[in-house]
Amino acid sequence: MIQSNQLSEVVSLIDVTKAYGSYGRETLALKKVSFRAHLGELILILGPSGSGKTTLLTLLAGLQSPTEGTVYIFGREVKEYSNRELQRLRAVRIGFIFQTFNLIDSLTVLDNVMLVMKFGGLRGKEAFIRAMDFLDRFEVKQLSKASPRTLSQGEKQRVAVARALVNGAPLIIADEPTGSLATKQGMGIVGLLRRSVNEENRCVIIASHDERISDYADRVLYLSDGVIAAPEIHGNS
Amino acid sequence: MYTLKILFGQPLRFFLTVLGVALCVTLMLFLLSVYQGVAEGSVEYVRSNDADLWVLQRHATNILRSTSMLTGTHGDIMSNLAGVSAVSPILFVMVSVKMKDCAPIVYLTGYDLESRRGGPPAIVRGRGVSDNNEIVLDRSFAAKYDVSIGDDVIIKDDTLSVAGFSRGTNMFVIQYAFVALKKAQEISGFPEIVSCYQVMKDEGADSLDIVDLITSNIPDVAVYDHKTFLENNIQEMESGFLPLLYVVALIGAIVLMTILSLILTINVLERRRDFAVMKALGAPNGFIPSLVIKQGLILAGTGVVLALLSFFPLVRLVEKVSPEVSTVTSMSQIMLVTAAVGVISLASSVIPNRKLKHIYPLEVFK
Repeated sequence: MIQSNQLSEVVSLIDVTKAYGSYGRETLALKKVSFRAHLGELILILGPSGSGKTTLLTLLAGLQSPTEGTVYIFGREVKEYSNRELQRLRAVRIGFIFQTFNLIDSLTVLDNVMLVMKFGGLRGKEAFIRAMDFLDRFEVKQLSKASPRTLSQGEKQRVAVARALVNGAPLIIADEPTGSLATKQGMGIVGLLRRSVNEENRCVIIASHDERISDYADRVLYLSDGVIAAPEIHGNS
Repeated sequence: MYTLKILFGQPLRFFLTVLGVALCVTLMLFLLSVYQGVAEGSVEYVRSNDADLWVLQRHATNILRSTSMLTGTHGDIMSNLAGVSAVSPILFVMVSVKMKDCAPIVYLTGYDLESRRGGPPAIVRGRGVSDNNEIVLDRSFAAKYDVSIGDDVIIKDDTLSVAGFSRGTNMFVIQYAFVALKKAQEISGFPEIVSCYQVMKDEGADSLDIVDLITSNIPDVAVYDHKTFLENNIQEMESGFLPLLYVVALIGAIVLMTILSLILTINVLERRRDFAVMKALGAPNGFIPSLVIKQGLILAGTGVVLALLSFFPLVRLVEKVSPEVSTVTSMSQIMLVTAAVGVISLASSVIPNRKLKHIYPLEVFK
């Protein structure tokens, strides 16, 4: 019998170890890590630099494979996906927010958002209307024709969030999304992500060393030296 | 969209690259046009003189680079053979024309004024030779040395009046000039000698029979039908000129490919992070390579357009400065060069696309 939490499960890691380097000189970035994430959850992976947070995110996004253990993305083991399927997954079902925003400076704000819609298969007028709607939702519509290089840090991050959410991806992966922002701006972004969880039933996984985000999280996983210390439940949803 | 923004993001680089492409395309077009001009100038004489048979001294295969000497007796013998309706002698002599401060060489062609066979392929100004004291010059020769119709030119001790200018008689390194056969023989110093004969057969006569008759009556001659003789001359012209043309054209193509490869590779390396982001965000497999290919095609296409816009004025300028450079440009040449540039632009994207393979989406998490 299928449990309801299985239906809403987005990703899960079971005893995942990730090692870098050649045999005999390996560095373990993750050691026997296990956890599950579901729709309607905002999970914070908290830990200092070098604790393995980013490695964990890249495994969740299917950007690399574990050395040991199993990663399931949307109910299917990651190694069962072809490269093409993983590309499609990242284009349509996973949204990314990076610490340094990674907007493409040679494109306008609108083009940046529409580019991922193109990857997801949406083009033309429909894509334009949806992109403008998302820019409006994140209060950057007036900057649609601007180059990202002319934007403030806070504006850039809002565009980056719009880009991550515009394809309706159920899983949003955010790597240090507040790292380049002032406190108020940073918490504003996390608030937007919290709203997308509450209103759109998405699953948001944030990796950060910023403990203030824990106020917005349903669960906080403490990662230290590649090991999850202890799960903690918050009641913010 | 992104392709154009990559290209126009660096306007000076775009302009210089297009300029480089345009120069290479112009070079290739110019070489082809010169080749076509030389080809026409070299063999148009043979092509337009459609004799049934050409008779030369044995082992001589063409009139461009082989020596042939026959006597008047040979012509008399052939005139009396069954199936032969007419025989026209031609004498080719390389002589210098005395000008004010130089003495350029011409390929003096003496032909029979009665039959008028062996004369200039086309007269573009003035008229043909009508007596022993006239000469027809190639039009580019006349332009280069500023000779007008009615002027006198001196060859050896003879003064000849310029009666007209001819076309299709410029072999690039030397030009034809036409005089009466008698005059050419006087100038050569051998009144009985000719270079070859054009033979016209009677209607219904078999060419092979006539060839047999000629070779059995005159053992030391070679006889060619018009098609074979034209092919011989084309082959001779190409063997002397084409290798040089190919080498220069190849250099142009290599330079073009180098320019495009370099620029496309720089564009990839400069946008390494953008491409890594695209890969992380799920760009389909062919999307990023197609950006590189499109860049190459846009640069090449713009270069071709610029080259075509500047080519014809440039050719007119070159022909004005150096009249001996006569070019012939055709639509098929333009199509050929455009297709070649398209292929080169595609080939140029190979190296940058290999670089793309080494850009990983994980880089965006650094």
